[in-house]
Amino acid sequence: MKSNYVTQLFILLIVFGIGNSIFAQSDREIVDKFKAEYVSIEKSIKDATTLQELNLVLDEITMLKQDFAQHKELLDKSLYPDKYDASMEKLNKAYLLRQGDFSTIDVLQTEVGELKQQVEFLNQRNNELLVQVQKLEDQRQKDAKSIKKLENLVAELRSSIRERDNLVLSMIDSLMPPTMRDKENLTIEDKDMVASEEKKDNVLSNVKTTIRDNIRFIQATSLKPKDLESIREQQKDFVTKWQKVGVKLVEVYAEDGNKTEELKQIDELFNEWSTVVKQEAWESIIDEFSLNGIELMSFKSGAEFTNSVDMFIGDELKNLGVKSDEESKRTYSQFADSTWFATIQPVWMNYLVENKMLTDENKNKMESKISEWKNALYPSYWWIYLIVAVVVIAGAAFFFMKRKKPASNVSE
Amino acid sequence: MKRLIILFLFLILLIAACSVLTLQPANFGWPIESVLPVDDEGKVTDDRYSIEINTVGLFFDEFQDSLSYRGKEVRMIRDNQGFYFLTASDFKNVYVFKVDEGKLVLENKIFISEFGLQTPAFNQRDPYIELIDGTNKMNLTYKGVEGGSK
Repeated sequence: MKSNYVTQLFILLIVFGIGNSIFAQSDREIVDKFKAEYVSIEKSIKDATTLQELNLVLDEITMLKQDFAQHKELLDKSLYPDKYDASMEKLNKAYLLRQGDFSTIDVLQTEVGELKQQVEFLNQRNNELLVQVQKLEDQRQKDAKSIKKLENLVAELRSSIRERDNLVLSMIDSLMPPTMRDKENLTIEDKDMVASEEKKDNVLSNVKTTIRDNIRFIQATSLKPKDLESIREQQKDFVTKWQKVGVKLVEVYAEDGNKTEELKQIDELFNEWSTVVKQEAWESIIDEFSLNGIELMSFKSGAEFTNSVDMFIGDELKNLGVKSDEESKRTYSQFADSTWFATIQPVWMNYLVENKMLTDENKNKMESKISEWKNALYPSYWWIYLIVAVVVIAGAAFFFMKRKKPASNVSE
Repeated sequence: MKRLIILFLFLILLIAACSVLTLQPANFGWPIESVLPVDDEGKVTDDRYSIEINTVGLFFDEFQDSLSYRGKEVRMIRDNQGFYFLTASDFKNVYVFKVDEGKLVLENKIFISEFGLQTPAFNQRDPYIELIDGTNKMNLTYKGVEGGSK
């Protein structure tokens, strides 16, 4: 019995001894293993491209924590500067931070999805409105009643275009969040993400449609200075935002010929939009005259405008003896009373001068020409009044002198 | 008598003046060993503990070859008392050094194996330094082996 007990004890000692020997492990090895796994998880967090991939990392963190909990004391002493708990906390924070990134991306993707639908709806609606506006513009001179309807449609279209512009701006924002815009160089992951988002939502195509519609809107309508100011502001906002993102997009699509071409087209459209806004003032002025039956020679600058007015009045002056007096006066009335003094001077003149589209000198020149035209049509008869006045005064003086004379005879 | 008192006081003052300020206890132990590659000049550097040692003499002592340090790495640990334990693969001994002014001075050379260590590693096991090599392990102090299995 005793020998049996000794044998069991011996076996037990051998088992423990072997076990002890087998599990002999270098502390350094444990610490190095922990560090390697830590670095690997850190990399997995950083490299995760989807939330699903990131969720797998959470299991790795849990496993790491479980596997090394028994070596906490050793790791606390050996890890520097962070100890075991601080290291695990750091990993958890990195995980949560990355999770936050994905949540933000998820929210942005949903937002962009909704924006895409709204933009598509507005694109269609704007098209319909533009067609209606164009039709009414063509009828404008024939059917004066439709003017009110046209004005309402234009207001609706303007508001609709503005709404769509804002949505596309939001799309651009979502495509490249400000943090990414501020980066000096985009990483490959950043570029892939931007390219995939752009492809999904067709952002570049939407930007082009937006600019084209804005151009079409300006071309189809006759706008007032207030509208143009507002369009200029809107255009400025768009250009500023696009300039920041556009440069980065060129970087993203450096090797994609089609997209590079598309970006080039957008730049050209921006230039065209800017030119059209500048031209619109002149077009609207031409329309104002045209609406009142005055067909001026086309102009695209202050000097050309002055020249056109000068030529028109010059022709009218030449025709004074040829055309009937009544016809000449009607033309003057349409030009000066119905257009110049009713719209051009009160509505446009300040806008043109303030935006340096017309000089004071040209303005004065046109006004003096109109004055000359008026004088030719309605000559002033001041000299007759002067003669009459002189005769009346002379007559009165003679009368008084004649009445004074008998009185002096009596006193003598 | 008066002379004796003066002499006694003088001795007390002398003893007081000669006593050295001592801070204790102090623990110099490293939690884990450092594994340091030997550079082309035979030096090893540990950034964490800001230590740089020329190991040419160590390798020469072990292998009798002044260039045997090339491509090697040294395993080093410090015990609680401040002694440095150094060894490397193929070493038959563990070398124990104490610190002196700008140098390490050999305190003890502990013979371990006639066939040389294959994959040696040190662990801090207060008050010992544990040496493991494969499945073998033993406890060391600066004086020598303190038992264990081989």
